[in-house]
Amino acid sequence: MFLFIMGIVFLFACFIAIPVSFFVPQVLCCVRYYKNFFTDEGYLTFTLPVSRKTLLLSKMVNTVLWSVIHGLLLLVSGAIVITIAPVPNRGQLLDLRIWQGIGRILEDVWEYLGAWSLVYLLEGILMVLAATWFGCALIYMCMTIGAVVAKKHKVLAAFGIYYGVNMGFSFVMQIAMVLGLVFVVLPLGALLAEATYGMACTLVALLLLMILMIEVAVACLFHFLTLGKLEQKLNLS
Amino acid sequence: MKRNKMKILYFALACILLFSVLSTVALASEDPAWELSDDETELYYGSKTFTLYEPYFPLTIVGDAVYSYDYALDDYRSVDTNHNAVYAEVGILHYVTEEGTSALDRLMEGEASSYMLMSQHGACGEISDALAAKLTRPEKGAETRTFDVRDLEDALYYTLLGVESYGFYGCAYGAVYLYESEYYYIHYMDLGNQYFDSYGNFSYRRGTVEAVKLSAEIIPELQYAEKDMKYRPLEYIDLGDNGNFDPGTDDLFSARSAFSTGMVFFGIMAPIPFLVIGLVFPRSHRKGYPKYWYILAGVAGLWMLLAILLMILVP
Repeated sequence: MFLFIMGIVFLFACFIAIPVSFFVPQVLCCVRYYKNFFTDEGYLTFTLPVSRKTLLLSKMVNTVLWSVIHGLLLLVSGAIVITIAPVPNRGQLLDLRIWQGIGRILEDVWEYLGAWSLVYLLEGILMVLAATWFGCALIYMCMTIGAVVAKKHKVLAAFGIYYGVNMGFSFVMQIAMVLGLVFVVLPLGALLAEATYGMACTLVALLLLMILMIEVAVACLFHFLTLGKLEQKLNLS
Repeated sequence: MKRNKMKILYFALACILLFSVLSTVALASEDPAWELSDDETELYYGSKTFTLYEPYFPLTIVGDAVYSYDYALDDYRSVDTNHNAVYAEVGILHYVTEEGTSALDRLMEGEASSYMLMSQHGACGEISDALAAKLTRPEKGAETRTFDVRDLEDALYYTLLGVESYGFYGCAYGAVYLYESEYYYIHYMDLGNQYFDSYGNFSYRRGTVEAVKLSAEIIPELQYAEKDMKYRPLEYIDLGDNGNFDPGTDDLFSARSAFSTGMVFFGIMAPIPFLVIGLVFPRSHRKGYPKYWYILAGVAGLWMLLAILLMILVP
């Protein structure tokens, strides 16, 4: 009975911990970014024989890398849970039915898409990386602008700028997504019915690539704006 | 000091992990599992054994039956059972307990516990034993008529279901046909195999059958039973294609126009600001931005190229 209650408690804790922990690496990286660039440590950082472009790039790569590693760790944790949690009741060591179900889904995907599934997988990975970069670049841009603009309460200013920019961006994104659904995705779905299988797969791949380019363009814009502020406007007091 | 703190932290984390792993074991299900014998003649659920039952007449799950479904065997076939787990179905195979076997045997011999009338669309309603008796055991001297079964194929009919004692399975004992505004009853249990198809359903391909014309006194009761069919199957609701593009000629044209409009907006107009910023900033002597802004212009150019390619390739 005790173990049963503990099991419920820990499962509940897992369901809370997983989404919360998703933000921990990014928060830690942002704290390091702020301390390394905009506090007393910044005096040492900017005297290093490294250009500011490289410094920012290293911070960005670091954050993206840690976010991706954390995501992979969450996947590994999920894999452990679905391997151990289903209790075997037919005398075997582990009950692997969930894994067999996942295997069947992957088999069906491969049977339907063939080698295109690898193309889409690669594009998906690139889109995840670009989205992570975009998120980090947005936060760093807001932190940089907050540190440059505000003389005191730089963190508060960064929060305020992030909140405003994020709200405006989310508003624009929602409109863009609705318009994109109505004018691009749904019509494309109808037009693909007239296309051959190869052409339909090619068009979907091109569309995903276009979405990737949009993510990269916006991430680049934020990254370069941040870099511009660091190179020209930074004033450590 | 710091090393000791780290050791305590690692120890605490290891204990938490161990508890987490143990607690998932503690949540083990105590329900028995469904297992099928190798020759698939027996199905086991804990201490209960279900034996394969091959009915002489096809069985129908009656309209108001309550059943559970989707227990999975090792090979992922589902096991559907009635609510008191006397019957179990794996695909089209029927497995029954000893109690279920005796109930079904009585049903097959014509000794139903209750009766239902079922329409061609699956709606059913209970009828009294007296009405069922009048249908299945007509009076001596009742008027009969011989039909070519092909004449009955398009006639409206109601199947008389005998239902076993657990109220789950019904067996078609016969059917009431409305032909030329008269009601006739055909008793299936008296017919030979040549009148049924491979699924055990009455066949309208060939042959003649003798039907009993129902007397006038039965008809009101029968018509009341028709109206009283309260167990109806879910109606198929056609939601139509509102809001979706139907790939017919007109809709395809509008799909193409919408897609082109979308691509012009998202693929050509939207990247222009990025292209302009990426080209202007590095050349601005006043601002003096570095050359890496050209990367942004390159990405925006690629974005526009992909959009144009999509517009060309889409059929």
